[in-house]
Amino acid sequence: MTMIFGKTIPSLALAGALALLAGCGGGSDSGQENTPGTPPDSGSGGDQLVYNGPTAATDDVLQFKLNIWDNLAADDRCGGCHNEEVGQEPIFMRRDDINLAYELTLPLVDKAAPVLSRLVERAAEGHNAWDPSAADTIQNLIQRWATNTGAAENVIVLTAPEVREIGETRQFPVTSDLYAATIWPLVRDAGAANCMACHAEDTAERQQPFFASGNPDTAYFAARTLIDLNNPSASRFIQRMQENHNTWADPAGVLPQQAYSVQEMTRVINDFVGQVELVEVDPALLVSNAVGIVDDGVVASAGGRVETDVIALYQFKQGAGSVAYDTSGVEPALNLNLSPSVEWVGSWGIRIEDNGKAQGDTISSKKLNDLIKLTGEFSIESWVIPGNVTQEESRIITYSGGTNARNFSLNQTLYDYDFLMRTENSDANGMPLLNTPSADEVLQSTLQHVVATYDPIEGRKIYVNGELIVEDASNEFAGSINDWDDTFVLAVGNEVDNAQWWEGTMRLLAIHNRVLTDEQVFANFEAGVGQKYFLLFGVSHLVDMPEAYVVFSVEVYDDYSYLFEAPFFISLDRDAVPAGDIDISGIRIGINGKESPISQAFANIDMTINADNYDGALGVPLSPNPNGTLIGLENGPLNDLFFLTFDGIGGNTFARPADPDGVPADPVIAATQPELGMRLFDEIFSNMAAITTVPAASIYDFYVDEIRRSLPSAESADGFLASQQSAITQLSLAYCTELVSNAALRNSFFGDYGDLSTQAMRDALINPLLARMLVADDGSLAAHPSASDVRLRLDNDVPEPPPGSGAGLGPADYPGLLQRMAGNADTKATAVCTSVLASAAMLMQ
Amino acid sequence: MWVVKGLTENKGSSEMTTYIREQKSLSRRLKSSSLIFGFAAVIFGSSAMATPEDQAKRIHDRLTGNLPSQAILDQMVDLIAAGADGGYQAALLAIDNDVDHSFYNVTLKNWSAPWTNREFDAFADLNDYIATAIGFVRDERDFRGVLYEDLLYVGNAPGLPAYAVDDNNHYTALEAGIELNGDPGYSLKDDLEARAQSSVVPALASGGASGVVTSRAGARAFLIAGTNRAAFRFTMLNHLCLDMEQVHDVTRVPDRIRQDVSRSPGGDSRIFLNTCIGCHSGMDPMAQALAYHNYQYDPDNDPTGEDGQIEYTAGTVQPKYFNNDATFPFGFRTPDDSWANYWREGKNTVLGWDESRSGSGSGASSMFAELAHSDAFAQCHVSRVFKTVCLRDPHSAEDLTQVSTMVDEFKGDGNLKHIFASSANYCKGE
Repeated sequence: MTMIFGKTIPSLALAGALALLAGCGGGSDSGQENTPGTPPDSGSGGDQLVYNGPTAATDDVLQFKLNIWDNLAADDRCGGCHNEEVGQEPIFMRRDDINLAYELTLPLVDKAAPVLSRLVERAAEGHNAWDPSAADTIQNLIQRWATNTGAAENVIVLTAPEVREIGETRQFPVTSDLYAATIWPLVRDAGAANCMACHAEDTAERQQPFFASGNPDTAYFAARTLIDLNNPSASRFIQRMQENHNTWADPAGVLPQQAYSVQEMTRVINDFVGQVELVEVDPALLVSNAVGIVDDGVVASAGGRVETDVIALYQFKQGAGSVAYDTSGVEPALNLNLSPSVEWVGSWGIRIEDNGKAQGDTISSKKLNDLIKLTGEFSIESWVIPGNVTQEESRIITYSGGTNARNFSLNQTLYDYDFLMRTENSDANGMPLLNTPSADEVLQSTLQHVVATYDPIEGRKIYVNGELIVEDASNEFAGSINDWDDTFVLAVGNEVDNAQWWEGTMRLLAIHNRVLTDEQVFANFEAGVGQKYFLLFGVSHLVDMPEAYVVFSVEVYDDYSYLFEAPFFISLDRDAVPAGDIDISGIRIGINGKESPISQAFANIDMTINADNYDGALGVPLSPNPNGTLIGLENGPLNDLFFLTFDGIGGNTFARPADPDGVPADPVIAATQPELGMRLFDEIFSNMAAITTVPAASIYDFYVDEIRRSLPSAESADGFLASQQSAITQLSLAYCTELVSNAALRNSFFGDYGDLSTQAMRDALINPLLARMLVADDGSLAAHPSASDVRLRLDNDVPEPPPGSGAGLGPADYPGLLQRMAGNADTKATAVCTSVLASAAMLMQ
Repeated sequence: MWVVKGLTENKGSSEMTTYIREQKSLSRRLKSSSLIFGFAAVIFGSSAMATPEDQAKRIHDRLTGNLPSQAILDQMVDLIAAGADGGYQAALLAIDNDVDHSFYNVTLKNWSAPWTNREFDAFADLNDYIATAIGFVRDERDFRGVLYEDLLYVGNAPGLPAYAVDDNNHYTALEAGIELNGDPGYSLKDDLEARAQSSVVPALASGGASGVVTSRAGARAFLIAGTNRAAFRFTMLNHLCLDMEQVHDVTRVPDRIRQDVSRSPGGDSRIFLNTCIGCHSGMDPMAQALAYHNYQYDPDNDPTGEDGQIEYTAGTVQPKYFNNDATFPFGFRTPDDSWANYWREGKNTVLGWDESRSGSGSGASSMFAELAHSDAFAQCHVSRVFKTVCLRDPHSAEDLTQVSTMVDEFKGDGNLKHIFASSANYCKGE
């Protein structure tokens, strides 16, 4: 890309164009009155004009004829007046000699920046515009001419903006006092907003930002980015209420909850903002001149797009109205009618909401069928922003007759783009589809360039962001498209029967009746979407160089922000050279009198410009990595006024105060919790091994495979489940079974408990268990059960009723575990062992 | 009538099935016994003052998970009775003289296992991440080094499969062989030794080692696929007890947010400007330190990376750093593994960064050292040890004072074993 900068040439060119057009027809001095927007009644239909004059002298003339003359020379276009017979000067659409028409047209066009062409400007003013998009159509025709003759390089001509001052603005107070007196009480009111339940550092949620912190300084620091001093109603605080984010009820019960919350939040925000005084920009700041986008921005060429074979084009520039115009210049215009739930977006585009749709009519949609059948191939190209990644079979673009009949569709299914089209090898619904690989999650809910192409040899391909993502693996799909139905219609954002809504934003749609090559797809991706401007921030008063500027490329990125990218330093005096080192550091972007509080991606720039790196034509790039950032939109591109500040420039420095440090939160004393808790899974497993002396290896597989994940994994008794006790019991049983059934272990642990018929035998069984469990009667472990209590429950020789039992019952009514069991001694021993091992004496710690 | 069959060493599957069924039968009978719940009532109902035996038992319980043997209980009681420092000495005794080594085999293993996977699963198999964390405590190394030193703890007992860079068999065998009452058996107290990662892992021979972060388990969990931000985020979570939400600060300079972060999710840049930017502006310049790291695996045939291994491409940024670079082409394009801590200014100064460090550098090790030497790291680990041992968060002014004292102690020497002992002594009961 070549960039040529200078300020004199374009001014002269523009002046010439104005002079030439001074006597142009359509004005009041022409003698021929035409109401703007109403074409002359020629009845020609705008086509079928036959040229019989001399042949084009050069290739450029030929391209002029193909792109401009063929489209504008008819009686219902410019050619209705500006021809040699009617004589309306300039007669740039003369029909007798294409070479003369070419020469007369050249001063009226700016191939470097078609939007600046006089032809476009006049159409935009309504001069004989045949529809509201006439200017866009002419611009596209000029762009296409320029592209086809190689003149479409991005040749940018910079012009110096008028010097503007920044003016007064509101700036945040240094201290938190005002915040603490206005907004803070509401967000900390437990009976109202109660934001402090989450947005404070001493809560369980600790949800940032901490604007409801108990410390007003911390809260104010966090709240600053949530308050818009120049447009209070755009404050994040209020927006969140409008989004119904944790709103609260009107205590008087008058207003709906959301409306009341918005009202209350607006009240305190206005209270805050109203007490902030208007001040001049901090005089200590090193500031550039101020510039606005529309008033001062230099329009950047949108060149580089390949549209040679475009047959329908939607740039969605209008920003209002119920029609999205086809600005391809290819008749008939396939305009799309917007349903009421389609919204325009500020950065050129339409947002499809609430089952909305943009749809053409059958007659004009037929041109797709006719023109694509001519070539047998086509490309669908679009810049889209999917609204989410959860919608399925949603129609982004479709040329179809209903949910099950189509010529082609580009759909979204979750993270995939789906491409369906009808050929002789598909069904009527365009199946089987081609889709981007699901695992790659190619589709993202962000701005993406998507191209789907088809030709009868290679079949279908899908490109995303300039890269080929997927193509037909074989030639089994490709084939004739003679079965296309010319009664279908083109629709965006939904199926024509409204059955498959796509939620998202479309910023450009182009349909070509040729396949775009890999290189062409990439070129169109690189060209981007939307209008870019160059903003020249004057800094001559800060550096020792005449007509010095820091230049940003700026575009409206979406409804809420601007994209500032690729800053560079340049002097518009082509002969100027830096006399010495010019340092530039810490660039911040200011908007409407204050530095934007966030997203200052150029704040770490530290560059030195001197004669060695300065290029008079290109300037010096200031930030190759990264080269772009977003700045929040405030009053819109018509009104927002930007400036730059610098920490250092041209030997001047600004001692930027350090950001205030965070204030540590006071430690939080938790609610009183139990002193005791459960042992955890592995602790239980290993504890049982230690108690029983059973080698853990003999239980390990059973433990890992069957038991482990059923045991407690948290100490708190609050979460203890019956299923966990069940698992503990099973594990105890496994250990005890091994202990009792393994003679060596059993004898070592118990000695001989015989048939458990005597007290001594039963003691031989029970006492070792209790001893290893540290269950004793000496009272040394106050928080442990006593041995006598446990024996009472285990032994069959019950001396007395257990504590708390009912009156009037005798010992026989309270048999111990052993007494209630049948079976042999080992079985009883296993049961006793398991009872002890699975008890709280083991589990609790 | 039911019968409990003997449990033999090597059961066939059908026999085991029968055995389990019988066990369940017995379990049902036993569950219905009031015996178990009766014990629980005794425990919860106790409000008696703690005896020295109670204190010793609790210290042992909390540190090892096991009931003490009578012998060690007696020793601990004697120490507690001996003087003001007795509880602390008793705790050290339980840590290192417990015959079962359960402090290492159980407590430390379960304490660190949740850090080694994204699900915080405490049931995770033993792995090199866990072993290294245990080794740092055992050897009383400055625990801050666990994040950045060129160290890895591997088993050194006979009979273990050799450490491998592409499987975890070495550690699963070690874990399965941990034995309390059998012989021979492994223990995580005696059978771990420190080795240099750069000598054990060929991929890290040229550099790139950074403690547990570049352990095989750490890499498998957090350097697999994705963008390597997970390795940063989960380290913050596990070692500073802070998720990104708590360090969210939209006022930092966002000049190093990569190209893959959408600046206008769903077409609404407010989401980026109010939310995404708050984490990415600080996280991306830190996670850049891992620009040369990756976990290599076969996503088609081994989607969980069971057989994968760490990769380190010195001087060459991993392709994952350029994933989705068309999402916002004007974003930061990673040129190398240099990093910077943007949270040294603004509200995140409360994390307590070490003033003696520069706050920027190159490579993972120095970046994770930056994290490890923060006050937040000390506060996180001391608080976690306190909870592990005391089974509660600080719930009194005295508790907070104790934690604060231990944080200061930890910031001095990084000795986490002492923090365990101090916590156990503090929570032994009165």
